[in-house]
Amino acid sequence: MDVDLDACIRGDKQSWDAFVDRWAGVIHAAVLRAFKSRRGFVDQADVEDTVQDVFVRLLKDGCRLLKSYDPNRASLSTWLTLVARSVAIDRLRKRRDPTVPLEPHDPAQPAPDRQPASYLSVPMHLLSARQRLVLRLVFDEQMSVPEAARFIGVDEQTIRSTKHKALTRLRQHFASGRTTDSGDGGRPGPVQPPRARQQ
Amino acid sequence: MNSHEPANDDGRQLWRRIDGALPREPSACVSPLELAGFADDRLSDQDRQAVEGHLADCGACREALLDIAGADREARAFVPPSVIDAAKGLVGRSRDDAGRWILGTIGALGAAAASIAICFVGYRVGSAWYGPDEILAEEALLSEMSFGLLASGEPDLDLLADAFEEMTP
Repeated sequence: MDVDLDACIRGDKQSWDAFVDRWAGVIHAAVLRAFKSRRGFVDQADVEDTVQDVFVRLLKDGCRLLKSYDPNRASLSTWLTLVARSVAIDRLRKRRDPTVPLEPHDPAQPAPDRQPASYLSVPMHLLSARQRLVLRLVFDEQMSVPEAARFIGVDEQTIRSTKHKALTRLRQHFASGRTTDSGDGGRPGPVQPPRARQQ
Repeated sequence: MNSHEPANDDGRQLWRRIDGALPREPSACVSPLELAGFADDRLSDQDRQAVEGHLADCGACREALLDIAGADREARAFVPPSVIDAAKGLVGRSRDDAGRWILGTIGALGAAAASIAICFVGYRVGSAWYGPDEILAEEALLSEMSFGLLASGEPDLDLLADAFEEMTP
């Protein structure tokens, strides 16, 4: 069922009711998903309030948000899912539930992972944006090649070749010794925590 | 999610070593419409490239897209009726409702006007039948009665009964 968005914006009650009937499920599902993934539990009253908040924001300031939707650029379902997700995260952020660390933190222990390699020099355009994106999806987000391909909207071979070229460039860069530090011939050796390097 | 391939390990380690040193190209976050367009594959090549460039360096927007990639964007989940009713209540009356409201209001106003007209006509008819002379006599009698009551301090029931008999046509 198509809903007349222009009529909704003009304030037509019947069109708005049809819009609510059609899209409340999509908005509800997106809010529920955002709450579950960030909180681990769901407070039904909170979800319902947030769904209502999404509708309020769509209408606020003379339907400013609803007017910003362009059917030529995205489907209404995807757009509403993103808007609902954004409202839910905003609400969670404002609420800031108190959190308790699971384990006491020992400041003497170095952080276990991913120290910033600030002493390595990597030129801005060593990797293209797509190469960086592909490496982040595959290595940071743990995506498989088909998943990364679907995410970016390209074929799997493009992902494989982009990844291969990116890694080759990185290896060549470090093999040529173009780093600022290190005393290890420019190869990107294990990164030491800052405290260890000060000693 | 990930097919763990030993061949990947070397690349992964290399990536982990240099990731923090990679310069990021700061750019303003893309709008929900642009992100949705990227997810739906409806952007022009130029816009798509711009969003892709932003996604390479913005974890928040990447996360948003990853979130909706798994979402059922055509969900028809059960939504409590109270939520639906509250959302519908955000927008006022429809044209039909407004028409009904206007007709109802006109009806109520008409009934009120008819009541006033009936009262007015009744008053005029009553006044014509129960003329000004009778009204003056009645007022004089009531005035006398009030004076008598005030003077004696107690009501004279016979006087009152006579007065009412006289007032009755």
